[in-house]
Amino acid sequence: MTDAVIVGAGIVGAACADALADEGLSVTVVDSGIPGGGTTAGGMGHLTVMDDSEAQFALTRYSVDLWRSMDLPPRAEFLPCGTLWVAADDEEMAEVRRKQAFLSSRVVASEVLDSRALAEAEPNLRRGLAGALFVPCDAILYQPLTTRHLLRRAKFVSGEAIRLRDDGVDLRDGSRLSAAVTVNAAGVGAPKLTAGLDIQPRKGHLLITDRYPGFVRHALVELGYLKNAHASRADSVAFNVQPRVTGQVLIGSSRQLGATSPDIEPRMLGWMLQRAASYLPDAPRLNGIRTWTGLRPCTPDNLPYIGLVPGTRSTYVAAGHEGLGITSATGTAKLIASLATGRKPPIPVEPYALSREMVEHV
Amino acid sequence: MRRVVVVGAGPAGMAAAVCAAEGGRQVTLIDDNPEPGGQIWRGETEGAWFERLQRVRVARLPSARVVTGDPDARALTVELPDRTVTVTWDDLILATGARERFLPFPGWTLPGVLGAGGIQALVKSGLDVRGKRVLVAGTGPLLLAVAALLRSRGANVLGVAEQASGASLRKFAFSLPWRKLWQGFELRRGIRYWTSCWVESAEGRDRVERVRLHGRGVVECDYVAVGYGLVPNTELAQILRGAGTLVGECNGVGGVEKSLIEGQIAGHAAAGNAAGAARLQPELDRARKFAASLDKAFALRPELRHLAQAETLVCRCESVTHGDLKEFGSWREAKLYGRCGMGPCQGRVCGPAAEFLYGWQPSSVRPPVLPARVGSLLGEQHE
Amino acid sequence: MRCRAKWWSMFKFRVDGREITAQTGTSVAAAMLNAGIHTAAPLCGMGVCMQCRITVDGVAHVRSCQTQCREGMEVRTR
Repeated sequence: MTDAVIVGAGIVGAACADALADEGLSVTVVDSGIPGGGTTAGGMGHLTVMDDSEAQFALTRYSVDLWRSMDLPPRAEFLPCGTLWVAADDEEMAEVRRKQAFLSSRVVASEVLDSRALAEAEPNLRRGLAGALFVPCDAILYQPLTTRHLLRRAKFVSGEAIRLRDDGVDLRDGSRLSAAVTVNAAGVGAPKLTAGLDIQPRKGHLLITDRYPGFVRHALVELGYLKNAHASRADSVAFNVQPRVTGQVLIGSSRQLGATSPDIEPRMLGWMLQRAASYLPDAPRLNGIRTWTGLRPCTPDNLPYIGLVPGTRSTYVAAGHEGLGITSATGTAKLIASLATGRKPPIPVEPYALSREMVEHV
Repeated sequence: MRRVVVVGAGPAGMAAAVCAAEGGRQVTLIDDNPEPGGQIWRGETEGAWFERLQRVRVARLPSARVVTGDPDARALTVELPDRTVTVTWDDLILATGARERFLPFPGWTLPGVLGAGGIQALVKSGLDVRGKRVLVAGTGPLLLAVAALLRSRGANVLGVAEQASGASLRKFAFSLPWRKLWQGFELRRGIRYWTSCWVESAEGRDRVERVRLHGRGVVECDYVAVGYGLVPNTELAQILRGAGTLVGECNGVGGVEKSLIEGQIAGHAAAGNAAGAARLQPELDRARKFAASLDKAFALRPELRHLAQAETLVCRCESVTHGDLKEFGSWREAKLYGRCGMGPCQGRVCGPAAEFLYGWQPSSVRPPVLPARVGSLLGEQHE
Repeated sequence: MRCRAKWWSMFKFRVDGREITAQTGTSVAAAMLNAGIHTAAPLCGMGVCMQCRITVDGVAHVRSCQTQCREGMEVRTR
């Protein structure tokens, strides 16, 4: 008997386990794969404050603050490198200034870099870019080991959950994990356990290079990322590159709604790399050593589901984070912990409610 | 005209290219090395197959690496030293060969500890072994060929340490066709051959200086050439999701005869020469039986699992030790939590070692087949 | 003994600043071992293990066992 059972040992489920353990609950986490080995492992490990909606800003900002105050072990490879939101032209520079004002009004530090300052900060970016917004609170970490760290106080059970109710979780092998609180943190698999969740897989490609220390120093993202990533249903790519502590360069990003095959699609990979090369002209000379894909759990309004399943007493969902699962794991976990223990949520939780009306984000 | 593309110019690839071209097909032959021959015929220019290859019209792409492919577009992405090209196929024959299996032991990362096939390749690319004391070890008929080559190049071959037992080998020798038995004997003359023997550890300061042999004590040496059998290179085939015909060592390790027969059959088939292909079937059956008996005779003994100590490296690219790894339950765990296999060799060395040591099945292969320039993966300019 | 009936010549190139002599048709890995240089020592000899990688004329991560020596080549092993 355990106080809480969480389905899904990805970073969101693991963070929930950690937060519930902070509240003194005993936690069991079940997954048919290895902890942090699913969608979590496929991502970029980028912790970033996103401002494309108030609700998203609130969750990511709160979450990044939590990550920064967490005592992570060295194997989590926490790298506080910050993000440079790169502006290609004057129109994007205007967006940089708007972003800076928005962040500043919400007491998040950021700095506008002009063309020359950007070139100094990142010599391998192409000449002629208009500038960038530097957000120093952003960071990068290594998700699989961070996930394992977050699960250190939970009991891990290997198994496939087939039913989730107030009083526990049934597994495919016929066994049952009984608990007073259950949490569906199964990401792309969440709709199988909770009816009515509109979560679709959104495939992304990534490539990692050989070691080239110093090739890039910050997480680099094009401003158009938000437009492509959050606003469009069509296949898209966006420049999103980061350094790893090993000196390898991780190159992303791409999005395809509804594609579920794990295979690399040469056309999408090529398109993504072309986009990266348009910002980093020397990227084509680097060696790529591996490519892979991942499936982001995507909702119509680009906000996750965090809350009680309507009609239940203690069944919660924490899923549907699209490309912000790593970032938002900590904030999501604190929200779930507050709901489960009847405390006041640290930030408003209504925007992520399961019963909300979904307006497709345009 | 429909094109046959052959990847790999070792014996299997050469035979396939020759038979397809002699049968009237347009053939492109791609290989990572500047000259044909693969591993076993590296650096050679004489011999029936070399002559036949010279005589037919085959478009050759040497010093070319197939880094990935698109089975739907029937296209290979091929990296040359100065540019990358797309090669499309109507028929595809994969003769990507095999690589050595390395099993970790204390000191195996010392300079001078090489593969058996490794030292063979290096000698054929100019390594001077005159007067050098070389210990050959591991398993398989390859060890004898390597020892013979080393001796012909002036090396002082200290001996061959074969892990298989004498009993296992005697059974094998009696099952061989008579012809092969004599070949084996010719190679062996004058070379000390120790069975049930293996390298327990290698020692030295900046390079290997001596090894400890099971049951035989310490042997001072300049080079150790150690390989524990061959592992088929199936990565490209996996990325192509089964497109193409596999021939030679990548289709199961079986020696040069099997490679030549499978290559010929695939070449004939591509040329529509069903009779030619059918004629070779009995030989193929014999070659496959030989391959099976090879497997059995040189099966790896369990003692080899216990050579590595906690601090012995298993994944050399990422410096992951046996002590780090034995706690994990699967290849995926070792990779994600331990970085094993995440380096530039993408598990080509540590994968087979881990499979033998811990029983882990390797995970799926993703492109590129080997490190490729990002520029090679850009594809067609996107509109 | 089968050997290459081919025109050969000796030439010089540098490894970590040190001048080495090699013969046409020799791989960089073989030439380095012949000269007693043990850094980036090869293992598989056939371009698969990635242990022998060096920087050649400014290009990093080049497999020395798959690279032919050339006159004036600059090799760095670190």
